[in-house]
Amino acid sequence: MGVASHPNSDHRMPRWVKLFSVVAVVVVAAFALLHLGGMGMGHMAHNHMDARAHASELSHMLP
Amino acid sequence: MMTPALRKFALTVHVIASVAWIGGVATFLALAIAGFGTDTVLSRASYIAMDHIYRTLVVPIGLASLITGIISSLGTDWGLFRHYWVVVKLLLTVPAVWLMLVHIRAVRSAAQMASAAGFTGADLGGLQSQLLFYAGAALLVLLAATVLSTYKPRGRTRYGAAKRVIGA
Repeated sequence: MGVASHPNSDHRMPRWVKLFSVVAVVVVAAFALLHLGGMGMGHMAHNHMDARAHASELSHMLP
Repeated sequence: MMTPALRKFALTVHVIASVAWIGGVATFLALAIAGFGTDTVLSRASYIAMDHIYRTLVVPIGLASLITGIISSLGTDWGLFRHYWVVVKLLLTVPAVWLMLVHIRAVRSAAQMASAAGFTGADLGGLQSQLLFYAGAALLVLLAATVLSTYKPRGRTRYGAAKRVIGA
Protein backbone atom coordinates (compact mmCIF):
# COMPACT_ATOMS: atom_id res chain seq x y z
CA MET A 1 0.00 0.00 0.00
CA GLY A 2 2.82 2.51 -0.64
CA VAL A 3 2.60 3.91 2.85
CA ALA A 4 6.22 4.93 3.19
CA SER A 5 6.99 8.46 2.15
CA HIS A 6 10.34 10.06 1.52
CA PRO A 7 11.56 11.93 4.61
CA ASN A 8 11.98 15.25 2.80
CA SER A 9 8.72 14.94 0.87
CA ASP A 10 6.67 14.71 4.04
CA HIS A 11 4.34 17.55 3.04
CA ARG A 12 3.47 15.95 -0.32
CA MET A 13 0.39 13.82 -0.61
CA PRO A 14 1.51 10.21 -0.06
CA ARG A 15 0.77 7.54 -2.64
CA TRP A 16 -1.60 5.69 -0.33
CA VAL A 17 -3.81 8.81 -0.02
CA LYS A 18 -3.93 9.14 -3.83
CA LEU A 19 -4.83 5.46 -4.12
CA PHE A 20 -7.50 5.87 -1.45
CA SER A 21 -8.92 8.92 -3.26
CA VAL A 22 -9.20 6.98 -6.54
CA VAL A 23 -10.93 4.05 -4.79
CA ALA A 24 -13.28 6.47 -2.98
CA VAL A 25 -14.23 8.25 -6.23
CA VAL A 26 -14.91 4.90 -7.96
CA VAL A 27 -17.04 3.67 -5.02
CA VAL A 28 -19.04 6.92 -4.80
CA ALA A 29 -19.58 6.90 -8.59
CA ALA A 30 -20.76 3.27 -8.52
CA PHE A 31 -23.05 4.07 -5.61
CA ALA A 32 -24.50 7.10 -7.45
CA LEU A 33 -24.98 5.09 -10.65
CA LEU A 34 -26.79 2.34 -8.76
CA HIS A 35 -29.09 4.88 -7.16
CA LEU A 36 -29.70 6.82 -10.36
CA GLY A 37 -30.35 3.52 -12.14
CA GLY A 38 -33.24 2.85 -9.79
CA MET A 39 -31.59 -0.03 -7.96
CA GLY A 40 -30.98 1.94 -4.82
CA MET A 41 -32.86 4.91 -3.47
CA GLY A 42 -35.80 4.53 -5.81
CA HIS A 43 -36.28 1.02 -4.63
CA MET A 44 -35.66 2.03 -1.07
CA ALA A 45 -38.03 4.98 -1.18
CA HIS A 46 -40.74 2.75 -2.59
CA ASN A 47 -40.17 0.16 0.08
CA HIS A 48 -40.01 2.74 2.81
CA MET A 49 -43.37 4.06 1.71
CA ASP A 50 -44.76 0.54 1.75
CA ALA A 51 -43.12 -0.13 5.05
CA ARG A 52 -44.47 3.07 6.58
CA ALA A 53 -47.98 2.31 5.43
CA HIS A 54 -47.62 -1.18 6.79
CA ALA A 55 -45.96 0.08 9.96
CA SER A 56 -48.79 2.44 10.84
CA GLU A 57 -51.09 -0.58 10.95
CA LEU A 58 -48.63 -2.61 12.96
CA SER A 59 -47.14 -0.08 15.33
CA HIS A 60 -49.12 -1.50 18.25
CA MET A 61 -47.29 -4.81 17.87
CA LEU A 62 -43.90 -3.44 18.92
CA PRO A 63 -43.06 -2.03 22.33
CA MET B 1 -3.22 19.70 25.07
CA MET B 2 -4.31 16.94 27.38
CA THR B 3 -2.22 15.60 30.22
CA PRO B 4 -0.74 12.12 29.53
CA ALA B 5 -3.22 10.49 31.93
CA LEU B 6 -6.20 12.20 30.34
CA ARG B 7 -4.87 11.40 26.86
CA LYS B 8 -4.64 7.72 27.75
CA PHE B 9 -8.13 7.76 29.22
CA ALA B 10 -9.58 9.41 26.11
CA LEU B 11 -7.80 6.90 23.88
CA THR B 12 -9.06 3.98 25.97
CA VAL B 13 -12.65 5.21 25.74
CA HIS B 14 -12.24 5.72 21.98
CA VAL B 15 -10.82 2.21 21.48
CA ILE B 16 -13.61 0.64 23.56
CA ALA B 17 -16.29 2.55 21.63
CA SER B 18 -14.73 1.68 18.26
CA VAL B 19 -14.37 -2.03 19.07
CA ALA B 20 -17.97 -2.12 20.30
CA TRP B 21 -19.09 -0.34 17.11
CA ILE B 22 -17.38 -2.92 14.91
CA GLY B 23 -18.90 -5.69 17.02
CA GLY B 24 -22.36 -4.15 16.73
CA VAL B 25 -22.09 -3.73 12.95
CA ALA B 26 -20.74 -7.29 12.55
CA THR B 27 -23.71 -8.58 14.57
CA PHE B 28 -26.07 -6.49 12.45
CA LEU B 29 -24.51 -7.98 9.30
CA ALA B 30 -24.88 -11.53 10.66
CA LEU B 31 -28.56 -10.85 11.37
CA ALA B 32 -29.06 -9.27 7.92
CA ILE B 33 -27.64 -12.47 6.37
CA ALA B 34 -29.90 -14.60 8.59
CA GLY B 35 -32.87 -12.47 7.51
CA PHE B 36 -32.26 -13.52 3.91
CA GLY B 37 -32.85 -17.21 4.68
CA THR B 38 -35.98 -19.19 3.95
CA ASP B 39 -36.65 -19.84 7.64
CA THR B 40 -39.44 -17.33 8.34
CA VAL B 41 -39.13 -17.54 12.12
CA LEU B 42 -35.39 -16.83 11.97
CA SER B 43 -35.94 -14.06 9.42
CA ARG B 44 -38.60 -12.39 11.56
CA ALA B 45 -36.49 -12.66 14.72
CA SER B 46 -33.46 -11.27 12.86
CA TYR B 47 -35.16 -8.06 11.69
CA ILE B 48 -36.64 -7.41 15.13
CA ALA B 49 -33.23 -8.00 16.75
CA MET B 50 -31.53 -5.80 14.13
CA ASP B 51 -33.76 -2.89 15.07
CA HIS B 52 -33.07 -3.37 18.77
CA ILE B 53 -29.29 -3.67 18.32
CA TYR B 54 -29.25 -0.72 15.93
CA ARG B 55 -31.02 1.66 18.29
CA THR B 56 -29.44 0.52 21.54
CA LEU B 57 -25.88 -0.29 20.44
CA VAL B 58 -24.83 0.60 16.90
CA VAL B 59 -26.11 4.21 16.79
CA PRO B 60 -25.06 5.41 20.30
CA ILE B 61 -21.72 3.62 20.19
CA GLY B 62 -21.04 4.89 16.67
CA LEU B 63 -21.66 8.47 17.79
CA ALA B 64 -19.49 7.89 20.87
CA SER B 65 -16.68 6.53 18.71
CA LEU B 66 -16.74 9.59 16.44
CA ILE B 67 -16.90 12.08 19.32
CA THR B 68 -14.17 10.40 21.40
CA GLY B 69 -12.01 10.12 18.28
CA ILE B 70 -12.30 13.85 17.62
CA ILE B 71 -11.59 14.68 21.28
CA SER B 72 -8.64 12.31 21.32
CA SER B 73 -7.06 13.76 18.18
CA LEU B 74 -7.64 17.39 19.16
CA GLY B 75 -6.10 16.78 22.59
CA THR B 76 -2.89 15.31 21.21
CA ASP B 77 -0.14 16.22 18.75
CA TRP B 78 -1.88 14.19 16.07
CA GLY B 79 -4.48 16.92 15.61
CA LEU B 80 -7.50 16.58 13.36
CA PHE B 81 -6.08 17.88 10.07
CA ARG B 82 -2.31 17.50 10.51
CA HIS B 83 -1.85 13.92 9.31
CA TYR B 84 -3.38 12.31 6.27
CA TRP B 85 -4.31 9.14 8.12
CA VAL B 86 -6.39 11.11 10.65
CA VAL B 87 -8.10 13.12 7.87
CA VAL B 88 -8.86 9.97 5.85
CA LYS B 89 -10.22 8.24 8.94
CA LEU B 90 -12.46 11.23 9.59
CA LEU B 91 -13.62 11.17 5.95
CA LEU B 92 -14.53 7.51 6.38
CA THR B 93 -16.24 7.87 9.75
CA VAL B 94 -18.35 11.01 9.26
CA PRO B 95 -20.27 9.69 6.20
CA ALA B 96 -20.61 6.31 7.93
CA VAL B 97 -22.22 7.99 10.95
CA TRP B 98 -24.45 10.09 8.69
CA LEU B 99 -25.63 7.00 6.75
CA MET B 100 -26.17 5.21 10.05
CA LEU B 101 -28.47 7.98 11.31
CA VAL B 102 -30.32 8.20 7.98
CA HIS B 103 -31.15 4.48 8.10
CA ILE B 104 -32.72 4.38 11.58
CA ARG B 105 -36.20 4.62 10.05
CA ALA B 106 -35.51 1.92 7.44
CA VAL B 107 -34.35 -0.55 10.10
CA ARG B 108 -37.38 0.30 12.22
CA SER B 109 -39.69 -0.26 9.24
CA ALA B 110 -38.14 -3.66 8.52
CA ALA B 111 -38.71 -4.70 12.16
CA GLN B 112 -42.31 -3.51 12.07
CA MET B 113 -43.00 -5.42 8.87
CA ALA B 114 -41.32 -8.51 10.30
CA SER B 115 -43.71 -8.35 13.26
CA ALA B 116 -46.75 -8.67 11.01
CA ALA B 117 -48.69 -11.92 10.86
CA GLY B 118 -47.85 -13.95 7.77
CA PHE B 119 -44.53 -12.17 7.24
CA THR B 120 -42.08 -13.56 4.71
CA GLY B 121 -38.70 -12.08 3.84
CA ALA B 122 -40.00 -11.22 0.37
CA ASP B 123 -42.34 -8.63 1.95
CA LEU B 124 -39.35 -6.39 2.51
CA GLY B 125 -38.38 -6.39 -1.17
CA GLY B 126 -35.29 -4.30 -1.91
CA LEU B 127 -34.98 -3.20 1.71
CA GLN B 128 -33.71 -6.68 2.59
CA SER B 129 -30.73 -6.49 0.24
CA GLN B 130 -30.09 -2.86 1.06
CA LEU B 131 -29.72 -3.53 4.77
CA LEU B 132 -27.30 -6.33 3.92
CA PHE B 133 -25.32 -4.13 1.51
CA TYR B 134 -25.06 -1.19 3.92
CA ALA B 135 -24.05 -3.43 6.82
CA GLY B 136 -21.31 -5.02 4.71
CA ALA B 137 -20.11 -1.63 3.47
CA ALA B 138 -20.14 -0.21 7.01
CA LEU B 139 -18.05 -3.11 8.28
CA LEU B 140 -15.49 -2.60 5.50
CA VAL B 141 -15.27 1.11 6.30
CA LEU B 142 -14.75 0.40 10.00
CA LEU B 143 -12.08 -2.20 9.24
CA ALA B 144 -10.30 0.28 6.96
CA ALA B 145 -10.42 2.88 9.76
CA THR B 146 -8.96 0.32 12.17
CA VAL B 147 -6.11 -0.47 9.77
CA LEU B 148 -5.35 3.26 9.47
CA SER B 149 -5.31 3.68 13.26
CA THR B 150 -3.00 0.74 13.70
CA TYR B 151 -0.47 1.44 10.94
CA LYS B 152 -0.71 5.24 11.09
CA PRO B 153 0.80 5.64 7.60
CA ARG B 154 3.14 8.58 7.27
CA GLY B 155 2.28 11.83 5.58
CA ARG B 156 1.56 15.29 6.90
CA THR B 157 -0.98 17.56 5.32
CA ARG B 158 0.10 21.02 4.19
CA TYR B 159 -1.53 22.39 7.33
CA GLY B 160 0.32 19.82 9.47
CA ALA B 161 3.64 20.65 7.83
CA ALA B 162 3.08 24.38 8.42
CA LYS B 163 2.18 23.73 12.05
CA ARG B 164 5.38 21.76 12.53
CA VAL B 165 7.49 24.59 11.11
CA ILE B 166 5.82 27.08 13.45
CA GLY B 167 6.25 24.76 16.41
CA ALA B 168 9.95 24.06 15.67
